[in-house]
Amino acid sequence: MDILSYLGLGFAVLLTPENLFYCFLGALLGTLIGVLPGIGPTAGIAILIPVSAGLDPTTAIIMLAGIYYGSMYGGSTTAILINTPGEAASVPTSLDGYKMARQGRAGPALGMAAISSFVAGTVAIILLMLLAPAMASVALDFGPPEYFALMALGLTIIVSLAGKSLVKGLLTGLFGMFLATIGLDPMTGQTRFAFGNANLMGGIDFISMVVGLFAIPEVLSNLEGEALSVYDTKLKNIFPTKEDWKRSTGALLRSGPLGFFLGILPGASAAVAAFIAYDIEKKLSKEPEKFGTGLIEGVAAPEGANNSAAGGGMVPLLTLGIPASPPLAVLLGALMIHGLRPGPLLFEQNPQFVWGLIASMYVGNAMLLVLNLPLVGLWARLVKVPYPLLAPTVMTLVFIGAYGVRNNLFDIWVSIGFGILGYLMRKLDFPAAPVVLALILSPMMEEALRQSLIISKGSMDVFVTRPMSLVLLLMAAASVGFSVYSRVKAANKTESFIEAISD
Amino acid sequence: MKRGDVVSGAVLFVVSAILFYQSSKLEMVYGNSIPGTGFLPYWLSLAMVLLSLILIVNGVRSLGSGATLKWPPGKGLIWIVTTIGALAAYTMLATVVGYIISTFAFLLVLVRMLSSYRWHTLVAFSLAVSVGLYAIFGLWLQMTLPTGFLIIP
Repeated sequence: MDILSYLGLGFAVLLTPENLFYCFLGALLGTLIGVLPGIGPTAGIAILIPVSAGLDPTTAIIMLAGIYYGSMYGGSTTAILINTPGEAASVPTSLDGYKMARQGRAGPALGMAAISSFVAGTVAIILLMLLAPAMASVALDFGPPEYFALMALGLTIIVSLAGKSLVKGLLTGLFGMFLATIGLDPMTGQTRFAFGNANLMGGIDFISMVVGLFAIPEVLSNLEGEALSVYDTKLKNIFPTKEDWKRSTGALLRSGPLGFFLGILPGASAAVAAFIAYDIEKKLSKEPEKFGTGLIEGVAAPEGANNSAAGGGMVPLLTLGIPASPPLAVLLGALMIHGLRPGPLLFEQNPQFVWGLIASMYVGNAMLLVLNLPLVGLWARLVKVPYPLLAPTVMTLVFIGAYGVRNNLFDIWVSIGFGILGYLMRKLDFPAAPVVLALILSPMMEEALRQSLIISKGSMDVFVTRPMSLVLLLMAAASVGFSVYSRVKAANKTESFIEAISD
Repeated sequence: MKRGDVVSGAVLFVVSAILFYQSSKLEMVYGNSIPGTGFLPYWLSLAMVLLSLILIVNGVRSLGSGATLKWPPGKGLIWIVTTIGALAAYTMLATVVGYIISTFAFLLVLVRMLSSYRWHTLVAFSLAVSVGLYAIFGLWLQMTLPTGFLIIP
């Protein structure tokens, strides 16, 4: 079957009332999660995994993926209206977007953010459709040593997720790997670090941990500060003017492919893609000095790039089982809960699922444009929901999400414990993202290591004598180098952005 | 932040050292040459011990410089502690009176603490959210929610 036939199969899977409904629901909830402070895509997907438990796996992942890319759309609304980017990927958007809002041009800024997200998101899906099957076919020959090297490559993403301090990032990554060892060792049958607690024999519940680590600290952090001030502006016209289109065309065309390829790279997150896209537009501009004063191309470029990077991140996730960011790590967890193991075999064994998901991204992207353009006024009003009402509601969702997976109150206590830990980590500048990534990848790496050593009868040479394994290990080393370089560059950029914003 | 680094580094050092000791008691090799149950945790905890020492040393060397750790002001701290306490009480209460009543009480207490809405608004909001979420998650999505002695969710 060629790609078009597979795509036809994907649309046949998607075009059922149930799948279309959950695709729409995912896009809607994603936008909501992106707009409202206090949840974020990582915890948002985690909370809703139990909800998806009763659904068909394809339907469930269509909805959860919709939340993931929908939240990228929604995140720009708060960045533009209240200068509070929901996540790092929206930081560059806030620079020109918020200035536009202050100049009474919030409408065109929000409109261009949605249009740019749609255009770049669509480019990303087309590239995903063309590249992912080829990558999967290469990975079909992988054995345990290659998988071990692949997981090592995946774990190098920790360096890029490390935040301000590499030592703290590595510590939290190791902590995540350690958490993964709790419970029954599947190979030896021995128990590790359960301390006689029956609830810990099965390991730490992934969803409870993620919900606690991401949603609770977000709420607690919002409770300690002053109320967010929404820039009160009337959204008169959301459609960009002819001049806006002229200025943004280059950014619209460039940000899609750029974001996609950066999204594929392990370690280059949507945030890095957004920063680089903004930087490129600034360098190509005839008036770079005006960036940061409310230029519409300064909104189009990062918004397009971060959405496209979200699509790019699906390539290593689906073909190799490597998540490039925390929300994708949670999505990987969701795939496993639904009995789907991402990797090259997924394309061969579950074409209905893979192509149904890709088709849903086409349709979901169009749904998001409809949701975000005409309804942008509604989302803008939602930003103003009083936090005293929002915070307790989010906490209730935390309770439901943590309880829902195993119907076990112990999991809520786990969430509360990780919530307190996550808050302290946030105060002390320890990043939470590496914990999630390590918790997902570490068990797979340990399993691949053991299987490799069984094959080689204990010789470590197996990792360097097999060409693909060696290539992957070299890529892991290169990834660390690239991540360190990007971290330094992004840190410099962030500092200059913060300076510009505070001016 | 540097003092925070020293304190957090010290806590991590102690925790990692305990885990290292515990790991060393597990089987290191399984069969002839396969990493055993203790292999991964042993090396992980050893790396954590070393990294926490680096964190402490870096923190001590730059004491007095860098941003200072900011804890929330009095009211914010009270809100945070109360929110965590309310969530813990909510979890315990849910097993006794079930999901709907405990959620209603949880929302009522928290919204009252965080805002100055009148009582009828508080009651209406708490009732609407607790029943609304039950309708979505319990009835529509068929999720199991805690039931108490009243045998209702």
